[in-house]
Amino acid sequence: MSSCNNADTVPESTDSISTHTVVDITPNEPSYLEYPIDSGQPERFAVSPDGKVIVSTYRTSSSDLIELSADGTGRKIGECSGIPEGITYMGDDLYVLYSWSGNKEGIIIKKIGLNGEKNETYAEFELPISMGRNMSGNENELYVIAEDKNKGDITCNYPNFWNNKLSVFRIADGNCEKLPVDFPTAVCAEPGGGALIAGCDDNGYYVMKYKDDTFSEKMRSDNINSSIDSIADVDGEHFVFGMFSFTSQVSLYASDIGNITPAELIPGTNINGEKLYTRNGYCYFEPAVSLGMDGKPINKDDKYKIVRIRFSDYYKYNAPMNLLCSRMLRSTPFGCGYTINAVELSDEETALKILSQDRDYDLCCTKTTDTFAYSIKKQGSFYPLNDVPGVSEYLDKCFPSIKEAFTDENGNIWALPLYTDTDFIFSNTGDTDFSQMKLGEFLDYMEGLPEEEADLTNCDVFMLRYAALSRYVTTHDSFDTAEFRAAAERMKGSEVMNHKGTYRPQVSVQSEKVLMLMTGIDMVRSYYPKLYEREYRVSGLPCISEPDMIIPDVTFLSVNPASEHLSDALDYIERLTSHQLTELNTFIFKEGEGNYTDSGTVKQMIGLCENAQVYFSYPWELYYWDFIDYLEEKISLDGFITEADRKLKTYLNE
Amino acid sequence: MMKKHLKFNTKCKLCLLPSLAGTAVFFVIPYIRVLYYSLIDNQFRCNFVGLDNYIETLNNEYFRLALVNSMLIIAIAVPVLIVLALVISLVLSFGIRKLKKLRTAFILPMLIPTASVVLIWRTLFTDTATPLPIYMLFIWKNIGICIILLTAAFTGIDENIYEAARLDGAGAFTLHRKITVPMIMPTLLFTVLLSIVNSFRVFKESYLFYGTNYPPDHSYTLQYYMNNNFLKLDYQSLATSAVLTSLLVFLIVIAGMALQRRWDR
Repeated sequence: MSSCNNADTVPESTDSISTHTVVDITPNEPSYLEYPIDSGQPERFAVSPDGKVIVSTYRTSSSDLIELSADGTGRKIGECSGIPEGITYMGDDLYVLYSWSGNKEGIIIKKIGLNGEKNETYAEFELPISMGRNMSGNENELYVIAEDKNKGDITCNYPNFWNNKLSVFRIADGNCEKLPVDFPTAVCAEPGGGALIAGCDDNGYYVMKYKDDTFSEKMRSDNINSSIDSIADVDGEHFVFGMFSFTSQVSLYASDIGNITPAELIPGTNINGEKLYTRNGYCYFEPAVSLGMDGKPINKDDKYKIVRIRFSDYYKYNAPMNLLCSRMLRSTPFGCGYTINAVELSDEETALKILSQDRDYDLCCTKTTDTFAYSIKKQGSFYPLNDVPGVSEYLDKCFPSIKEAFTDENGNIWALPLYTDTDFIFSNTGDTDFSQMKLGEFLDYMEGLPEEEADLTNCDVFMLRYAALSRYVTTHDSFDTAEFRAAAERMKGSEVMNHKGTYRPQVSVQSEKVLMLMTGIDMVRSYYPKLYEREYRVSGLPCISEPDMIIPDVTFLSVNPASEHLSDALDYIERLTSHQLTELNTFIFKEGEGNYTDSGTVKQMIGLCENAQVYFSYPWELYYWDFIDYLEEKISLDGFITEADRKLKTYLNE
Repeated sequence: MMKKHLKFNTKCKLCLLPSLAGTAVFFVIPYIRVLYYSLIDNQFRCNFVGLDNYIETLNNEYFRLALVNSMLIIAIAVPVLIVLALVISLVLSFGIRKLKKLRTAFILPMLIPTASVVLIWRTLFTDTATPLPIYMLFIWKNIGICIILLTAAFTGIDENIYEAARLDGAGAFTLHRKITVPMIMPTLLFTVLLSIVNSFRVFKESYLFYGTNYPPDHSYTLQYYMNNNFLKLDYQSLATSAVLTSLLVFLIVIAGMALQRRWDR
């Protein structure tokens, strides 16, 4: 058994970036393809030089090596003992990686005998390694990343999932060499020799190349702000990687190697750890499946699979998309291969930018609750999207009120609606019907609840107040109505309405018994599986006048007609349109919510959204703060009505 | 001699060039652009609509309200400002010597940040039923510059003229009527015009005092109209009202200059 050599010194760095020719061997195949796996969760997978996907699936004491087909059939081509910690091709041969167990420490690499041949040991190395994490190979080298016991307790300013215990080993010509790399987290072998390495040090996260005993400069980006879990070179100029996000998922990104600007390839995709592979211009990954306590998928429709995407269809090279954002935005839209640079500005700054016809932003992303949202349409500061492929069909799939809101009187599609964020009341306990309650009745109900039932509620007072007033004002041009006066008198004396913060915040979407939970789609999206398991009754928030009146808050995207990247912006819209039609949680489409159509809760939410009416909000200052003064008894009801009506009239007529 | 004159003229023009270039880039060209925007339907489609925007603006009740309120500031606050400034200037120029040391104190309102002043103003003036707090704030803020200008005018009058008039038997009233007033009239006229122009710029004080883009109707001025249209991205209303306001100011300045020429004659 050979021992591993340590390279004691770090060789000189080089900035040269090599490229290798990539031939698309399946140019007529779809850009997105799934390989279903019926035999359970795969342990590892690899892709052969001719594009065949091989997975190892554990049985009882050994693993089968299955060649997958897109139609779901699999062909066993070999087997190996135990569970391999890595599987890769070196040249045309398939190799698996094990760590020694028991008294010995080190790694064993075996060449798999395909088509009836016997497996044979390729190499064994005695090393202080506790667990191999992955293995990657090119024509004549293998690179292994494993937990290194020699590392001990060492710290770095930038955390990674593996607590800085990994090391990279290069195996070639029967030798094993430990590479001097600061806290590596992922490695992939590059065609033609060398490797791409991701890691971290005291200055942050980096990517660098290794070839012929030399390391390139460490390449960094502000947008690489978390540990890279897996990495793979596409063509020598671009690479893909899985990076931990703030939700502890591993998202799939791509970037140029020379100028690191990460762009998310497929949004919301949680890839399974180090299972990432590239071959012939395609990227292969295994989407993670969320498992419950019983080890089964939480979402019963989730299946194990390997996904293949054609890289060039998903990644837009060197193309940033500059986005002007509303401050209230929950997240930027998916980049579809473009790198999204989002700039958040105040209302005044945004208005100035739009009116000045600034050329340095491409898109404006805002919501119907933003005060200048409607002005974009009214002023014509948009590029019509009618001729962008897919947009008309996209709008046809939207709820009628949404389609109407984003088509102007001349038939121009002035913006692309992305998703709604609407507030609902959820209940799965008792038989109270909130759907027909007006605000006064709702306050009576909440204040009359016995203590034990009150503990099953969660009332967001700000949400309640804002929803009541904003919905009233969009359908009335004066506050001086008997209905409003009655509601206002009721609100003034209300313990609920005068509460600061959330009234009795006892339950959440994770609670089992919920009498009344007031929350928005945003929160609901984060806990979809829970809602999928339980059935709720869903209704809109109580109104001052019409009950069950839903006004969705729609986030939309408009194109800057003066953009200096107008063609890219329109291309982006086309890609986004196509992508949005596969999104599962936008609540803007008549056809519903994809995989969640079985959920009664979601069906009710869609039903309510279907009957919703899109309105563009008026500025808060017209009425909201004066109403707070009224609740705090700083002004009388007549004083509030006079002020609010005056401001509303000025706003509408000036 | 002619050559020297021409050389001097050329030098003068060269010296003026940077200033003229700056004025052109930062004022003239943008003004022409705004004028253009006021004649189209919007700056993205650029369809010429002639004077439709102006007709729409002039027919807008809130533009007319804003115009009336702006003119009321000129009609009420500016005369009060000028009279007060005149009285104080007279006292400083011809009054007790010790008071002259207080001259610099009148500059202080110009130096104090408006936001700080408004905080105090809101405590002093809680009744917003009239625009009086805004008028008083305007007067308080601008009185300093008026006093400086008028005091300079007063102290610029040669003492010998007064001496000669007294020797001719002129009394105090005659002295001021025949000497002081004519001598300071150009400066007085300039001060009035400056105050009128400054009255159109009253916005920051009012916005901070009322804390909203929609103040009571009595304080809704042209600046509010323009600012609110800017926030609504209604560039055409903004451009049109800006052009109309500039025309109004221009007419006032022309009238003032005509008055001065007549006075000189």
